[in-house]
Amino acid sequence: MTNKKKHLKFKKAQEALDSIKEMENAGLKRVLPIPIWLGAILALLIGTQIALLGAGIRTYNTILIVLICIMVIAIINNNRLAGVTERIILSKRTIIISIVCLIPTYFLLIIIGQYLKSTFDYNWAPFAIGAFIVIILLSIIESARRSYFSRIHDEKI
Amino acid sequence: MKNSNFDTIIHAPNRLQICALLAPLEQAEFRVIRDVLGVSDSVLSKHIKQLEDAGYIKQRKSKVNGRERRWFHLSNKGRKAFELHVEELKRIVNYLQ
Repeated sequence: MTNKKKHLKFKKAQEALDSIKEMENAGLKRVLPIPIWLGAILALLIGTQIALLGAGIRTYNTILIVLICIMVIAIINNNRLAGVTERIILSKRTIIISIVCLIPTYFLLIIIGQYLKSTFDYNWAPFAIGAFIVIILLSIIESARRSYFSRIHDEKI
Repeated sequence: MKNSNFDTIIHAPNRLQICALLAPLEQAEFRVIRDVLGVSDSVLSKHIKQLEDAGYIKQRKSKVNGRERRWFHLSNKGRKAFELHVEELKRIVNYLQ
């Protein structure tokens, strides 16, 4: 292969790689991360529900479930409007295991709240657990947003 | 550029861009792909058909506000072929550098 042909082949391959990087970045930029306010409301609703159920207050349970559903639909709609959805790198098995673990954890937290309140008269305990859940959920949402933005930043480099 | 990992179906500029765009995504809508690539509907349809015929991308239809939307995603075969193609391009660049 002559030097000219080699150079041409190199140039074509390099251009193709540059084009791939550019397109991957363009795809990622189109993904809208969950707006922080939407994530905050969702976290607050879930935390409130755990706190109220733990405290034995069931009056607002239905409305909280409806609001949580509305928030989840809003998040799904957010992706639909963007026209793209980000690829979840976790395997299906990991996702199923996570969901299977999360559901009992949800009920366990409510039961712990009820137990602490009824046995030790710690009336603040269910609300402390609720607040703890809000903080945990907010940190997860924020870390997902950060990882998204750092991914875009890495692509730029 | 003849090599076992070099995919001539993917390597065409527009098809390479479609695969690269879909690679980090779960799925993308037709209009988004068209806007990012800056091509007409007919040109995009032609390239998508070729990728579909090769089994590299799959489509899903959904209705939003009564309008049909077409969503595309890389199939496992397409993802594998694209990854191998990128590896091959990198190998060429490293070899000729």
